[in-house]
Amino acid sequence: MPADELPDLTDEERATYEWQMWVEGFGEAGQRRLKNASVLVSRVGGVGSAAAYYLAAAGIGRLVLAHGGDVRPSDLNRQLLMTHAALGTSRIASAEKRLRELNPRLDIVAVNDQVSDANASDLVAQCELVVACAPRFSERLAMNRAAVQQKKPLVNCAMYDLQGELTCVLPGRSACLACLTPEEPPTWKREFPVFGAVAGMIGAMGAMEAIKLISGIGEPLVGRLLMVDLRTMVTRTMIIARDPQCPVCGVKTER
Amino acid sequence: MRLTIEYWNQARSAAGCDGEKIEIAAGAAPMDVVRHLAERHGGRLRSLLLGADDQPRPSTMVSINNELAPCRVARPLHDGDVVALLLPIAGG
Repeated sequence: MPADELPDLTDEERATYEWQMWVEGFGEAGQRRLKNASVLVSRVGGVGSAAAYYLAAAGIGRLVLAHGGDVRPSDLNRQLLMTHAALGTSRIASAEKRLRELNPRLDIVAVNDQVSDANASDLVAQCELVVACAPRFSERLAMNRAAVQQKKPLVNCAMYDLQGELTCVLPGRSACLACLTPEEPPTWKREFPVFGAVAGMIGAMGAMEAIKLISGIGEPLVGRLLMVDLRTMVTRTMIIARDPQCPVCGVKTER
Repeated sequence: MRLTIEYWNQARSAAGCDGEKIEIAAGAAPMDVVRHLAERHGGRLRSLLLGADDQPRPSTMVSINNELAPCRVARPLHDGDVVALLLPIAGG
């Protein structure tokens, strides 16, 4: 969208986002791009809570959030948009409430369901960028298929134990998630060991990648996988090649 | 040839170490490295790396000098390469 068609900022928004508008290369133009942007985050559990919270804090105009189920005690070591008072009640309602407390200007579409092939296309169609934070490959791969088909960027954020990983998919330019993992791997279990701080780290980094992709600042992890190990404080950045035979983004699918 | 192996995520906890150095025949491919490590360690690492058919699971990922691909992708290995083993994770 041309810069002069981006929404203007209100005085309240200028005051709220003042410090980030001082960031080199971002400025008021970058802030207006964030205000104009819509982002899908699913789920809004450990990683997704942090990603959605920092996107809300940054002034994203619209968040589409998908997460089903009710808050359980075991959510509360990492799902920072859930509260003790919300135990037994809708996770998505708690997430929406907490985000609105931070940023009442935010437009939120709250979907009380997980992403699947049945709803992924519709959800992705409502946004310009996807942040994938779901604990099942079926959900991540559904978001990946829809994002590739609709040519929308996807930030993939995942964690296990004290490790996190992050990559950005730019359909048509980079590998997609299916280039590495085309189907549900039998080795992944839905419940896994993790600290909340790991979720916060990866979620915050995912939010920053989304902000970079929307505003054009910095160098997003397009075609690269960042691995971070908080046990040893070792990081690795690996290059991911596109698979020409990929069932989702491969050469045959582009014809 | 000598390879430096790094283990990440579930592979690390199953191997019981961050990494190691191994000797493997010249001309070995990533799948051969996966099979070698599965047999070397046995137990949980073996069950993570090999399927019911005793073949390397296609979902295992191998990075050679920080270039990542599924283990089924045939790529040359050279003496001194750093090879990282990763399993797909989806923790959210």
